[in-house]
Amino acid sequence: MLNKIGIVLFILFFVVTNAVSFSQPVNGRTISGFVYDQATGEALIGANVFIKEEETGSSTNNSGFFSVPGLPDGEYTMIISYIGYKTESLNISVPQKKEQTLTINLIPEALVTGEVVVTADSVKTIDKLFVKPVSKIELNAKQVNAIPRVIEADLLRALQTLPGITALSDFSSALYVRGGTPDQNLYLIDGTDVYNPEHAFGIFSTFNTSAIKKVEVSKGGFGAEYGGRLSSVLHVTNLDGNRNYFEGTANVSMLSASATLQMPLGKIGSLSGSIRRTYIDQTYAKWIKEVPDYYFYDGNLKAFFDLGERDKLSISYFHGKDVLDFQLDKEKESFSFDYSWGNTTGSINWRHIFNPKLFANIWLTASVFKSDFDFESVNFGEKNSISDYAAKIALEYYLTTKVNFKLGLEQKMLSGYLKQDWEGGRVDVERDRSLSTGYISSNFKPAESLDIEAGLRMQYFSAERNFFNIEPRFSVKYRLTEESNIKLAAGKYHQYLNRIPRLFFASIWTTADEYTNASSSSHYILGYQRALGAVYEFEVEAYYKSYKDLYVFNPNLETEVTPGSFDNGGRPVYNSTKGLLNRGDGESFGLEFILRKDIGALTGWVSYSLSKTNYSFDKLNQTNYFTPRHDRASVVNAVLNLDIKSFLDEIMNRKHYKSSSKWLLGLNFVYATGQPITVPASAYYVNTLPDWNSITAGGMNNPGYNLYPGTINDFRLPAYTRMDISLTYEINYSGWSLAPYLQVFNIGNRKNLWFIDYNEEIKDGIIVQEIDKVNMLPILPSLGVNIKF
Amino acid sequence: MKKSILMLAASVLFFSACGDPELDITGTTYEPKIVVEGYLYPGEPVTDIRIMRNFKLNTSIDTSTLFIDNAIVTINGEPLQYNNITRSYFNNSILVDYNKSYELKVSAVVDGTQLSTSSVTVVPSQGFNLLTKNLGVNRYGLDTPEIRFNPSPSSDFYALSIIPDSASLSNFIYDNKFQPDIKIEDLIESFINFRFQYAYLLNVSTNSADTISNKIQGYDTWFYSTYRVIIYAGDKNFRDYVITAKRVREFDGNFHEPVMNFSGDGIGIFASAVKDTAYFTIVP
Repeated sequence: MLNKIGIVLFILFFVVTNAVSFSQPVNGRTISGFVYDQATGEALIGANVFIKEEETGSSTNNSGFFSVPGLPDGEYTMIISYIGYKTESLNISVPQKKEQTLTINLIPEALVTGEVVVTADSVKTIDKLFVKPVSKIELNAKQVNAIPRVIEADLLRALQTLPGITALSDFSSALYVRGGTPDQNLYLIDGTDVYNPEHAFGIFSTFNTSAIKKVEVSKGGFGAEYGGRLSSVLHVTNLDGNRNYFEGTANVSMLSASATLQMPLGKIGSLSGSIRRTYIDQTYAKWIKEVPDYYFYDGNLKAFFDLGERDKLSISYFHGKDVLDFQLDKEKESFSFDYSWGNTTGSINWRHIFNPKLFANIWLTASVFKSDFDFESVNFGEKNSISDYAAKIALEYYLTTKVNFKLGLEQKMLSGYLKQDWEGGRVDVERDRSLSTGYISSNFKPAESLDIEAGLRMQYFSAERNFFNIEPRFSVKYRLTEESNIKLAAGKYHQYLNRIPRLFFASIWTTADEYTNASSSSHYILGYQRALGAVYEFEVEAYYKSYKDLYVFNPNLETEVTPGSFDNGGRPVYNSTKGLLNRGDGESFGLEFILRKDIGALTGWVSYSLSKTNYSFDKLNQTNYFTPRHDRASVVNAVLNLDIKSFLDEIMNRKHYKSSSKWLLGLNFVYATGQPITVPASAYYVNTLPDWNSITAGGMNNPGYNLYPGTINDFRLPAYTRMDISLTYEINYSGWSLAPYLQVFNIGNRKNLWFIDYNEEIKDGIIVQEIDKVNMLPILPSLGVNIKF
Repeated sequence: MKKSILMLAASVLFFSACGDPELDITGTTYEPKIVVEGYLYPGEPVTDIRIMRNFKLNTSIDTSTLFIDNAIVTINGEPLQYNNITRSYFNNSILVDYNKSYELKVSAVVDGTQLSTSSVTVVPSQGFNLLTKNLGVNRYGLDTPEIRFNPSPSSDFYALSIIPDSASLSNFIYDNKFQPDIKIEDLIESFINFRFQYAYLLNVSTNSADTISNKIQGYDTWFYSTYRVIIYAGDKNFRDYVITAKRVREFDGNFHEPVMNFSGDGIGIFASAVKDTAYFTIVP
């Protein structure tokens, strides 16, 4: 307890000291502005802004805004760089003739074309690495789309190729980050929380990759501006829309068709919209009797308004829905059910520059998930919903080149319901919650080689009982040598939501309440980065995470659940979470290595992660530690993208000529230790009900034996290995491009085990257990075409 | 050189991503257990308490050692005797009473290891009353037999054992909507599973004045026949066993522990119930 108070006091002291020490009038001027893509007018996130003479700088935030305060009067060279864009060099005078917000447009250049020229005014790789927060990975839409996919490009599946992020199976896009579970990831799309971001029973995610501008993934140790989840943050920023000209992309795959259109709205702004729909119901389902009528669609619309030099406004909307109409036998009267689910999100985001040092981001967001299941044949129905309405303000204050502050407030209203109705009872749960959050953090750069950030996040969660938590966050970045950095991060995190994953059905969310505590986790991360030459990045990170009050679904729920009341028909009505979840604690630790190259004819990364997760749950394994199902001890990933002609030119030292067409080869390889699983260890004879008495009857008419499990998760399935390739031919002609592609998922046709199917048979007095291996996806070629105009 | 290294690396990755990995779970650790199957019914003496052992899969079941005949078995401290014919333990002097607690203690040697276990059951209170025993003749798909009863004040769990008097391939209901395309070989293979059906009512009202009703669903009747339904008003052990013992296998082949309320090395069921029987007939 004293330790915790000490940490909080230390961080408060750090923040206040920074504020007081630097609250004196600061000599010098502030240069601020926005960095945009010259071709489309899109704000660039994370672009580096460097003042050469002062050897200081900044990077753009999620709105493309930067601020460099404390510049003495004089002439400066400002270098603005961003991966995939030509580095821009500007001569600026301080003071400027009039205070203005700079607008800097960078010219895009293809990632893979041309030689990498490291000039004196380029920002070095190690500097870019230094700016990056601990455990954070950024990907742009091009990188996401370049990774070979399972028929459909998918963001979450692309992220499963990163170190520390693993998948459970080929059929799931869910992310397990550093030993955490999918519900411990915060999914944000344009600042709005997204719940159950899944299509097709989790095979695909709801994020349409055509609409994405930037993806930021923080695998741990994230700053005080993020919270509410224990493991990670995935922040997706969608395209604002092309401000200069009409632009469109279209994709046709074997599963779906999609289109993204962008257009300027006069001089005031831009509009971007995407739509996607699968057509299984109109094709395969009509030809193959066993294929159910199923489809999903999603679409988003985003409008950007440039209200002036100091005000920008974005309005974004997303809606996605899955619809399944199942009938066991389409030609006969047979049981059938209907199931639909989907997300709707919307946000209004106003960015305002109060002065060159003070930037504000204000959001109003709404996120609603709903599902509806109707199984009339067995008199079962379910309605499930969660909604999240939030107002947020985030302030960034750039006091000096050495000190800046972030402050934020957030008020979230959560509500949800679960209603089930069947012959034996009803579930009728309705909940309203509120979460009030405030945070402050300060970034201090006492020297060019040292960067310290400390923050506090305070959360007040209101439910049947209330929770108040203070979360200290701390990170240090230190330039070890000219080519290497060392980083450290630690933080405390709380989560008030728990997800109950269900096979086939959409997940249900519950919250901390009178029966469950807030879950918490502490992160400790140590990282080392090294620039290898001009374009290679090498990183290694070690982490330790502890968990307290984790909750998992109780598979024996029915033995504990009690009704809150009875309906008029005498049926039990369940309306509490008592008995629903098992409580436990745990820990995860590991080491991750990644070698990455983002520039040149060959791009991609190779990574290795070694990890271990231990759980201890109150009602499992006599509270002894055990390994959870999602633990993967060793994971190797290799993602390589190759511009074949440029690459051959490069290795043969041939002169490279720009061409209107190119062949692109993509490769994705993954190796993962097999999943732990609990297998049956023995059998015993006991009748299901007393009168069945089949033990003494013996022989084949003996349903009386049961299987009994062995030690929990003591067995590991065989290792998972898979290689995918893609081959794309891209032709560019007069502003158009056409890119037909061939994707081959699991090209080695490796029979990766999905699950075990046991069949027992009594033969000559022996219960013979035969094991059928149910494999994941086999070799799966798919064709498609991307069109850009 | 660079090209060769890349080609070599890609080949290594490719070949490591081929094949069909072996799966062998026979080495799973086996732990010997005392297996109990025993029910107490009010108004009846203690009989048919079976004490058995578990056994490894894929090994010959030695029926001579399946039933343990030399265990030390007591109920509330009173010793039970072994009956060689029924292969179970009994004590006719213990007359089971409503609402009373009974503790079973067993110690036995299994695979050379001394094991012991205990479990407690509390017999449900008097009050369970089946309102109609003859549920009549019902046309399949049109009529639904309905069980109606007043509950026991201390039991919120009712298990229904639904078994046809006559079950054969000739009176199987082929024209059903749950498995309309069933093949005859699948029917034969799973015949026992169609014949023995059960359902349960969970967390029903314990107010004796209430009338609890439950319809027998179409997926519980697979034969044109007369059926007998034994309704058990069970205690917590009865409830936990019926709900969890057969549900240890998850969709993906993962297993989890059932809830059996034994301390020590025991598994199985030691429970108590009040029971009654109803009848109905299903015709085309």
